Amino acid sequence: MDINELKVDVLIIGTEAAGAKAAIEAHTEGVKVLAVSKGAMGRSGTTVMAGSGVQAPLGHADPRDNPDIFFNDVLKGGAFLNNQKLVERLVNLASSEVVKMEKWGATFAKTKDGRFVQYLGPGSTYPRSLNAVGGGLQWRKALRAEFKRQKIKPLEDFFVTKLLLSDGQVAGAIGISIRDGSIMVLRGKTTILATGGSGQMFRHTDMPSGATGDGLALAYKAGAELMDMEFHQSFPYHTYGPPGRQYISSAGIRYFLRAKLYNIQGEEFLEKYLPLSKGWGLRDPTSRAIYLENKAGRGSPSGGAYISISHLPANMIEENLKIFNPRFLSQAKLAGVDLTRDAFEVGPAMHYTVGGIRVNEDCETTLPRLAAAGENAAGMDGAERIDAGPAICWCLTMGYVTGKQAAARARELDWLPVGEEEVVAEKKRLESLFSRREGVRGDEVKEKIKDIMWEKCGLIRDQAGLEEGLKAIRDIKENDLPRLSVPNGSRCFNVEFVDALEAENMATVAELAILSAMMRKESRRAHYRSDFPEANNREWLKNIIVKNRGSEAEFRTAVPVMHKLEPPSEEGAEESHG
Amino acid sequence: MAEEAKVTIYRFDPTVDKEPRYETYQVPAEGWKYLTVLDTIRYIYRKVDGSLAFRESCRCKQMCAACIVRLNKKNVLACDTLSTEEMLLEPVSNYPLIKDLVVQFDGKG
Repeated sequence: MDINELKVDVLIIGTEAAGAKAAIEAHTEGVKVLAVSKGAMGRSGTTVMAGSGVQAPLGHADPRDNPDIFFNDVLKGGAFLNNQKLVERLVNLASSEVVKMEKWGATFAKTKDGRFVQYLGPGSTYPRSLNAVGGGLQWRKALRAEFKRQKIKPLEDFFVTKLLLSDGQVAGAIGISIRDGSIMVLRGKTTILATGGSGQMFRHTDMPSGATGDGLALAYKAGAELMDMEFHQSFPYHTYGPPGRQYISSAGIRYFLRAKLYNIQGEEFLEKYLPLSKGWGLRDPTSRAIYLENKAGRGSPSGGAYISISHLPANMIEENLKIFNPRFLSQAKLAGVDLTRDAFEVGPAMHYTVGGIRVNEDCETTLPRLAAAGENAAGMDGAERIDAGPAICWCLTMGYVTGKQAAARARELDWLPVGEEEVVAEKKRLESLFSRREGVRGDEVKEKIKDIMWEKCGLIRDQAGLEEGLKAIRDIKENDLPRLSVPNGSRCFNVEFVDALEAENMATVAELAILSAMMRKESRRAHYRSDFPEANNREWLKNIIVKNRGSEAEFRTAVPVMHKLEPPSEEGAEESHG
Repeated sequence: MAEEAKVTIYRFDPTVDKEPRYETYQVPAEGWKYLTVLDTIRYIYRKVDGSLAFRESCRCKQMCAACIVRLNKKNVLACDTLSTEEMLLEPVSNYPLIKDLVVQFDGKG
């Protein structure tokens, strides 16, 4: 075979919080690791975009907090669809693994006597979120620094296109260098997937451009089980406008200055939908309220709602923002938005992929020698992620578990042989895509998927809409994917080629999300069906699990791993959207 | 404001070009007015010239800095800078060039 090959003990696909952490933990054990990224480490992925919060039950702000309380909060937030053994493992590792980041170079807000500042986020019983100053930049700084100290060099701009199997076990992966178009086989005694979420399937998302569900598609195509694919968390205060000002994040004024939201008629409409919380609902119900107000023809021009603090005294606004949000203040001024008078427009965006690859408490998938960590995996969050920093906590703890586990297994395992036929077939597939000049471009297909998913499988779903969405996605799979083309033939950093690969992954994952959403005939947290608006604990305290059987998706349901905490017999009154 | 913007972009593909060159694109209002520099780059890639190479990731949060470019001889984040009617776009000069506006960061910056 005239294909380059790299052989390492542990192959990690993904280089941000989960992947980098796994690489570091495995490398510390003295095994050879390779961490691969589709982009540039620290300049791609969701980690660098993270807010400042990361949950760890240290009890510094309130001594009553502990891992058990954290566990209960996560279960309650996830409406009891979580894998309790997995959550138990992670909450017990949270404090040590989060604090370790300080040693590696992350800066946290501390009190004068050296304790961590911890704040209270929605869904947490006690203040638990540590404040990494500047958010994602701290994770990037610390993980890069530790890579440097341990002399781990990532493989960047490399798109993994297929997991390689040997007798049903994962032997590594094959992929293509975005920099020069060379195809390479990456062999690992074990492989860890940590590629993040799939928010790019939706018209509105605040997830990075690379969040195209690559790891989910890789795992699914190889035969691993996926779970909870119907759950996608939204964030209601993504800046939609004014035109050209979408890059200014106005969410802070909602939380810290109680900014008001208005429709085009000047009405504060949220309370109408969210009477229980007087308009201050959780993320998903608030997103649905803004979405519905637009469907009723009362949205702002960009399809969202107006957000404003103009009811506050002008000098107070200036003085407050100068201290607490100087960047926002200067950006607004530069852009000509007068906060004492004008409004931004905000609206919902898909924020976090709740479902993912099904794993056990060791983060092992259902395929031998394949683990998954971070947003790629499912089971930590159940039907919904709580606010204020569990995501980074899961990345760090699952990075620890998968890294240590992989290193231990690498010592007892040998490399599996890689089938030449499989490698040659994938190479041929990639070459033929590269040489197809006529057809449909990947970015066109991606744009279509985004509209279909947003309208038919987005914030509010029903049977008829899901069926239409399914038909549209299947039409894309049948008619567009085989015609995907790369009009410019350059082998060097070909964006059209990357778009084509991502379009394939998005279509694969979108179909599974729609089918899962059709199956769940109830509403629960991040999944809302207008034709089944209530939660149904009697029938639906179950996970929906999907697996690839040839060309068919095979679905089943299973009761979640529930060894510790029983769900309450009745769900309390809860805001769905009104 | 003029309806068309004149956008000149540094182009170099090491697999085919011997020398770098500058290409000028006339971009209609829908591709630049009230949009960020990154939006305009994406517009050119999507509607005019699919061979243009550029990086993006967070797209709007000014966090990842993948889209850093040299605009009229000054380094900016393309995602949080508004487009104007005349722009010269070049790769940032303190990293090795891969192609067009794309550089190799190697974990730095």
